[in-house]
Formats: sequence, structure tokens, C-alpha cells
Amino acid sequence: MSAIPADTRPGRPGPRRPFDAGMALTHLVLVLACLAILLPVLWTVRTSLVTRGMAYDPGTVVFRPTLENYAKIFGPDKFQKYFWNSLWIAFASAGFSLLVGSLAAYSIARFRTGGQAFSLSVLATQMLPPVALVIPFYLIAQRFDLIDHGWALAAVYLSFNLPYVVWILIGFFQGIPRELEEAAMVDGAGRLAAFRQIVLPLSLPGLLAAGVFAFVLSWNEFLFALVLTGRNSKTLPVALAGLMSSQGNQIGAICAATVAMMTPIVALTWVIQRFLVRGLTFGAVK
Amino acid sequence: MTTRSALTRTALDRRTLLHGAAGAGLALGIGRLGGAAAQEITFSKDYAGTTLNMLMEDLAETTIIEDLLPDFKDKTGIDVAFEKVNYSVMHEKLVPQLAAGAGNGSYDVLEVDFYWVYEFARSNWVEDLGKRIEASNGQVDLKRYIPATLKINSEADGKTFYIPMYPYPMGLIHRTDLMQDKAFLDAYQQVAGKAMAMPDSVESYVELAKNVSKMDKGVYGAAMQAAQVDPIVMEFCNFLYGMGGDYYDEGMTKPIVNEALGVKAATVYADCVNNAAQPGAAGADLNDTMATYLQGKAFSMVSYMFMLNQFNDDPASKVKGMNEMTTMPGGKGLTGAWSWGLPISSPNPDAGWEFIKWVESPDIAMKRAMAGGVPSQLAPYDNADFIAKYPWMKSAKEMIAAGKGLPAVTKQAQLVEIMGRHLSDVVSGGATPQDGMNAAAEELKGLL
Amino acid sequence: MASKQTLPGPGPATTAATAPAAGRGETAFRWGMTLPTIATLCVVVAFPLLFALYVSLHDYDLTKGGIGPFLGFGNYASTLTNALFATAARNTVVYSVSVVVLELLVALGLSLLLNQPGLRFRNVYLAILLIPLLVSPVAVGLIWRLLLHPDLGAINWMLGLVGLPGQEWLGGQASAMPTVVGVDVWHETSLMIVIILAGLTALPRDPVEAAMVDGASRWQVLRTVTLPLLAPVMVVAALIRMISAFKTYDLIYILTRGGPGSATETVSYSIWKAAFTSLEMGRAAAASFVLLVVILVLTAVLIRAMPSDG
Repeated sequence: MSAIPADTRPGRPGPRRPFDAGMALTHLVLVLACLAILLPVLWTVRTSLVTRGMAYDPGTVVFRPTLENYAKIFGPDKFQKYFWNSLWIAFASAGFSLLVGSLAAYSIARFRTGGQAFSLSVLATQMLPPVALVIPFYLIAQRFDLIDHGWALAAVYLSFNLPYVVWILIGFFQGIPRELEEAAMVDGAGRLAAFRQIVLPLSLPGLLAAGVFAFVLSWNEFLFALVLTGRNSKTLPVALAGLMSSQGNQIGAICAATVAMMTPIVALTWVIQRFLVRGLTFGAVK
Repeated sequence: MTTRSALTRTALDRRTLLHGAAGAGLALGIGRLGGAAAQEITFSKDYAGTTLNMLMEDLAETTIIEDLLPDFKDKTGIDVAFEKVNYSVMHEKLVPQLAAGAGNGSYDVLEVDFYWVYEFARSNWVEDLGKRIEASNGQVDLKRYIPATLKINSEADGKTFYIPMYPYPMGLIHRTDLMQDKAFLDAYQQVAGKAMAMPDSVESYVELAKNVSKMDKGVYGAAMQAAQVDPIVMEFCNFLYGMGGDYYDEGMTKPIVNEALGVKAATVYADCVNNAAQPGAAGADLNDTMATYLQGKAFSMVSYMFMLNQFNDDPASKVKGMNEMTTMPGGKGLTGAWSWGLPISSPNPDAGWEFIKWVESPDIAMKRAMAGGVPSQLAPYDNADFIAKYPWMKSAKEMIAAGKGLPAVTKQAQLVEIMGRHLSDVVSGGATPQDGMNAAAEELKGLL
Repeated sequence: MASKQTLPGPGPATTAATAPAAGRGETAFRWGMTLPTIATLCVVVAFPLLFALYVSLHDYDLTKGGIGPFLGFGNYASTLTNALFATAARNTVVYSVSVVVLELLVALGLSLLLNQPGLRFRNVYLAILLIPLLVSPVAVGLIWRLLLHPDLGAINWMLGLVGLPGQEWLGGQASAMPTVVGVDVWHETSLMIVIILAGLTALPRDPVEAAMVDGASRWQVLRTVTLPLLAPVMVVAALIRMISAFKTYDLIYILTRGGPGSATETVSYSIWKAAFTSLEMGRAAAASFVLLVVILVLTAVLIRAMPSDG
């Protein structure tokens, strides 16, 4: 596996030795970081499994779990529907952003199309706070009868996804050696073919990172979803906010919904693990 | 008693009128209600097949009405679809709709909080209901309501824009079990140097709460919600009104919250938050505060009446059945209220009016009350069954009647924001009460 | 990957010199590729953007019905002279700089650790570290309010277990902002990890291997080879995070509403208030464009500051 020892500092044990101080330290830091993330998450899981009285009673460690919070959100509250709405809207918006944005990013990265002014203006379109845009978005949606249509929300999400995707991809495309494309073009491939066959596969990590980024932004977006959706196309963040009531938050149900909202992390981690982490920094894998 | 006889008289007048008019539609007899005369409400079938969309707060009252909707469908053929959301997102969701102009919205009837009364009315977002009320020949009759609810959330600038739906008064909730606990009372005597007694003024309440906190019994004198924006202002209103103060002078010509009474109220309030309440009260919202009280860790809480039910009945409550609510010491507190309105942007305002007529008819009002709603109409409070089922409602009526809403400025939400910011500053030590109220008054001027 | 890797360009500005001269067909191709993006952005944001610009120059108070008279830069002037604006601007800078720097450093460190060859349990670490990605800010705020409850929250309870005094967290003038920053770091660092991991993965191997063969230590490799190569991705990550930090209002809304007093009042939250509390859309739009200009300038500065390969 390892062509080059992971740790070449003099006096340090190599990777095949039973104890590797550097690696131990790595694990220590990672475990601490994971604990910092995990403790609030575990508390969320705990809260989703207890009654409201116990949610505010941190001292009680042993308790009999109840599934009533989950029964509530997946029963009368129909969170499965909102989950599905969030999922496809985020997918659609991220997918379209990648499709369209990768072309523009390539053009900007390779040919500096439009100069810095152009790439900056692409980014500038989403520098306005969403609050400033929500009224005009509402006016359009209302005029064209698009209120409560999920795909209208997906289109609105392009307003921030597309600029971000373009910008993330510019950085990655610049890292692809021009010679590779030129070689392909010498072999008779057109520009577009070279882009498709050489550039896209090589920048898969960037595409995935940009895709994940766009997906996550859409998945979590609140204000546009609140104003532009109704009973049919409501997304998870809006449904979740609906659990804070003026007579006290239904904190158990909120936590249950949050746990449900986290579940795609399994698929996401698989994708990231498969494509974004290859232990390449120190040149280990050929 | 005088209100009752007045009510009976007008109801009779109305009946004569109605028979004289003997118009279109199906006349329906409504049963006798708590001694009030029978009332005939007619509904039109002209709108059968329409679906009314409404944005409703996701609360008990909404569910109660939802359960009664089949009756409305029977009478009118109109379907009603509630989009149930939580309070904190309602305003953001309504504003773009209402600002979109005539017929361009998607909600047919509005549920309007007392925060939005002047904002909606003066922005021309809601219909002046005067003509419709008149044309209803007494089927919708404002005399059926507790007068305070009309002041809080029905009239604006001499016109009637809303029909009261239900009020939510605030008052003082306290623990009855502790009031009977000998050890607790003895400890109080020791700390305070006098016997414990229910306070008759805001100042004496704060003194009592501070003494309870000093007792070291694991119980705070008060559970308080001094978080920005809405929690702190709602709570402070009770202190201010209870001490006889107000935000503006009588004629709404200038802010007076920085005059003696206002500054005193702010001082007393900050003292209460910092020396009588649970730790971290300066950042606590209603939810946090409620948790503290539910855990049995506070003696008292200035709060909404619907909290009383929660404390007494909620399975999560450790103080079930141990709580009582009284009018805010000083005799005056804040009362909030929800009302019905017809938005200018409503696609079906006429069908919407049928709904309002139905949901506020004495029969449905009584059914809503019996199912656990808080009536804004007078009749249920005179109904023996209702009072037997919900004994605390007797004092609720007094609280509502003695309640005050928010000042008549167009931007009431902004008033709350301004007060919230400066009060929070005072409470967390960022400004003295006088400086804080001066700064607030300066900004309040801009709202006139 | 290729053996003769040109270093990743430091952003759009410096690649121009190396771009081959374009023929007419070539130009059409270049712009053709950007066309779908331009068209999409026009459809999606052109109207809202122009609308916002238009109303920022007018008296657009929703309570007065419709768009009122032309004010010129009146809304801009009243935004900039508002007493609260200075506080909000200062808070925004403190908040944005803190979260960008902290999140970038933490994410970089963790990504480098995660990217080590032969690291065991990587899947597990990754899965855990990425969880906050999918928690919406609303939920983050509500859950942290639960944890930070001064009297009944898990955090003060745990502090109590080890004998430390409980803190006020969101309720204290001094502690509110650090608490908000902490919650933000908890939430947003994972997004930075995704981008930086991808950047590390896409790095060319040869320069690193060459340095290793030359006997450079891990630290030297990191400092002289990996980090410079990673610079473009880091800058993009910082840029994107900075922009979103400047625009954050939802977390503030749930956690503190700008309080106590105006301790956590940020520009974007005050814009939200101008729009939905005061209903002064004209002023909200003007303040938004002020924010846009500031972000744009910072972006340009950041791009210029990018380490260049020449």
C-alpha cells in the first residue's frame, strides 16, 4: 500500500511499528472533534426518545424510551412527505446547477471568459441577503401561479446554488493540466468531447463537493421555502419550524424531526468517503 | 347583569328585523344558550364547492374549530382547508401575500393577532367589515363580545376591521401547594420578617418573589422570560400596566415610557429578573421559562392563561393541579386576542364572510367553549355547564375584561422590537433604566 | 495524473496570459459554454435583483401600499446614519471573521488528519464529523437553546458535574456573541471539511512525492507543497463561507434575536427586521445593497490576496 512512509521525521517510528505516536495523536484529535459533534447529536437523539418533562431534566440518565415523538411526526404531521419534498427539490436544484454550472466554470477556468468582472458578477448575484429577494420572488411566483410548486422552489434555489457551484468548480478545473485535453484534441476529439472525457472524470471530487454543497444549502434553506410553499410542497425546515409553538416548543418532536433530517448522512458519507478521501496528500496510493 | 339584559333586548330586535326581511337562504334555529334568546343565523348556499384557504396557528383552538367544520360544510357546501403553522412564521408568511393586492393572495380568511391590528388595517390589507356587519342584520353582533376584546382586536380608527376569535389574557400564576406548605411559609416568615400573603401591587409581588428566591428552598420566586423580543415585552407589559403606566400618553401624542412610572416599571422589572428569577432569565424565552416552572422550580410566573392548563394537566408537568391564576397584581395586565379578518387579497371574500358568520355564531361559539376554547363572547361565561367544566374561567373573564392590548401605532411589531431591545439592555446591565427608557422613547416617537 | 503539472492557477486573474489566442469559433464556444448559466441566472435572479435595486431607491413601506416616491439615495443615507447600524456592522465583522477563521482552520486541520494514508476508522470519523451538514439552522438553534438552558440545560449540568459554575451563555452581554460563534462553528465546519477534502484529493501527487523523495519532513511538505497547492480551494472556501456568514440571520433569529440589547445584532438580522418588523422594504433593500458592496469589495481583496504562483 504505502510507497512512502507516512511519517519520515527522523527519530519517529515508521508506520509498520506497533505504536505510532503521530497516528495516536491523530486519533486523539479526531476522537475529541467527533465527541464535540456527537454529544449534542446524542442529546438530540435522547430528547427525541423522552417525554417533554424529561427533556429539561438532564440529570435523569436512565429512562424508558418512548417512540411517541416519531409517531407524531410520521403520523399526523406527515413528515415523510416533507422529507421527500426536501430530497427531490435539493437533488433537482443541485443536479441542474452542476450540469449548467460545470460548463461555465470550465469556460471561465480555462479561457478566462469574460475576465474577472464576469466571474465576480456571477458570484455577486447571490451576495444580496435573501430577505431582499423574497418579496420579488413571491410576486413572480404569485403572478405565474407558481406558489406551492416544488420545482419553482428548486428554480429559486438555483439563484444561490449556481454561482457557488461555478465558483467551487473554477478552482478544481484550474487544477487539471491543460496538456491532457490538448492530447485528446490532437487525437481528434472536439473541445466538448475533451471536456467530457478528460476534464469531468478528473474533477470528479470537485463536482461531488460542489454537488454536496448545493444539496446541503437547498436541504437547509428556510426563508424562500417558507414564503413560496404551502401545504403540498412544504420542506423539512419549514415543517420543523412549525413545531415551535407559541405555547412552548415541542422539543421532542423537533429532535425526532432533526434525527430524521440527519439520515441521508449515511449515503452522503459513503459518497464522500468513496470519492473525496483517498489518502493522497502524502502520495500513498498509485 | 346589565349587559345580559341589553343582549337579550337587541337579540329580540334582531329577530323582528329578520322576520320582516324573510329573505333568501335557509333559516336555522339555534338552541337556547345560557339564558340568552335564540338567534337565527342564515347561510347562503351560493358558494357551495368553494374551498376556503386559511393560515391558522397550530393550537388547540384551531383543532377545535377543525373538528366542527363538517357542520359548516353541511350548511353552506363550502370546504375549508387549514394550513396550520406556528406563530413565529405567520407574519413572514402573510406579509408578502397581503402586500400583493386585491384578489392576489391565497388566503381567504385571516386569523389576526393583536400585534397586527393597526398594521393590517392602516395598510389597507383588510376589509372594513362595517357594511357586512350591518347587512347581516344582527347575525354578526359585536354586542355579544366582552367589550375589552373589541378594544384589543376589533376596532381601529373608529372602524371595525375584525371579529374577535379568542382572547389570551396574562396574569399571575402561582403554586397553591407552596402556599399551604408549613415549612415553606415558616421559611418565608424568617426571610421576609412577615407572613406570606398574595401581593396586591407589582412592587409587593417583586418583593415577595425576591424573598422566595432568598429562601434557598430550591424554588425561585419567579420564572421569567426576559429574552428579546416578544417574551420580554409581553412580560413587561404586565408590570407596566399593573403599575398604571403606559407607552404613550392618552391622546397618543408622545411617548411617556421614559417618565416616572415607566422608568419605575423598568427598574422594578429588572430587579425582578436579576434578583427573583431563575438564573439566565435574561436570555430565557417562553419555552425555557415554562420548562423551569413545569419542573417545579418556581413559585410564580407572569404568563398566559393557556399556560395554566398546561401546568395543571400536561403529563410533563411536575406541578399538576397545584396552580392558580389571578389578575396581575395592580389589577391590570396584558390581554392578547386573536380575531377574524377578511384580507383585501382574498380570492373569495363573500364565502369567507359566511365562514366568519358561522364560526362566531352563538351555537358554534358555545361548542368551541365547551371543547376547551377561551370564549371572547359573553354568553358562555354565563353558562353553568361551561363554568362547571372549567371553573377557572370565572376569573378569566375578569382578567380579560381588565386587560389592555398594545398601543394604537401602525407598526406594533416594531414597537415590541424597540421595547424588547432596550428592556433587554436594561436587564442585562447594558443601560440604566432611565437611559434605556429614554432611548426607547426616542425611537417610539418615530412610530407616531 | 499528469507528470508535468502546472500549479493550479490562483484564480481567474492570472490564467489569462496562458490562454491561447481565440479564433472566432473558439470565442463562440467559450461563451456558448457560459450561456446556460447566464440564461438561468437571468431567468432566476434578474428580476428580483432589479426589483430590489429599484425599491432601494424608492420609499417602499408596505404599510403605505405599493411603491412610493423616488428617494434617490435617501434609504442608503438613513441606513448608514442609523445609530444601530454601526453596532450591527461591528458585530457582523466580529462574527464573520471569527467563524470564517475558526471554521477554516479547524476544517483544514481535521481534513489533513482524515486524509492520512492508512487511517483506521476513517469512515466512522467522517460520518460523525459530517452530521451537522444536514441539520437545518432552525434545528441547530433550537437544539442548542435546549443544551444551553442556564438552569435545565445539559451543558451547565455537565459543568456542574465537574465542579464548574454554570454560565449565562445567550443571556449575557459578554457571553452571547462567543456562544453564537461557537454554535456556528459546530454547525458549519463540516461544509468546509467537504470542500477542503475534495481539494486535497484533487491535488497532484507528483510535487508531494518529489518533496518526500528529497527527504522533506511531513511538516515541510505540508508547508511548502500541499498548502500552496491547496490555496485556490482554500480561498474559494473562505470566500463562500464569508459571503454566507455576512448573510446569516436565521441562526441569530432563533438564538438571540440580536440580544441581549444589541450584543448580537448583525447587519443581515437588522435587514430582516427592517423588512418584516418595520415593513420598510425600501430601507431593507438599500441596506442589502450596502452589504453587497461590502462583500464584493472583500471578495475582490481576497482574490487579489491569493498567493500567486509567479
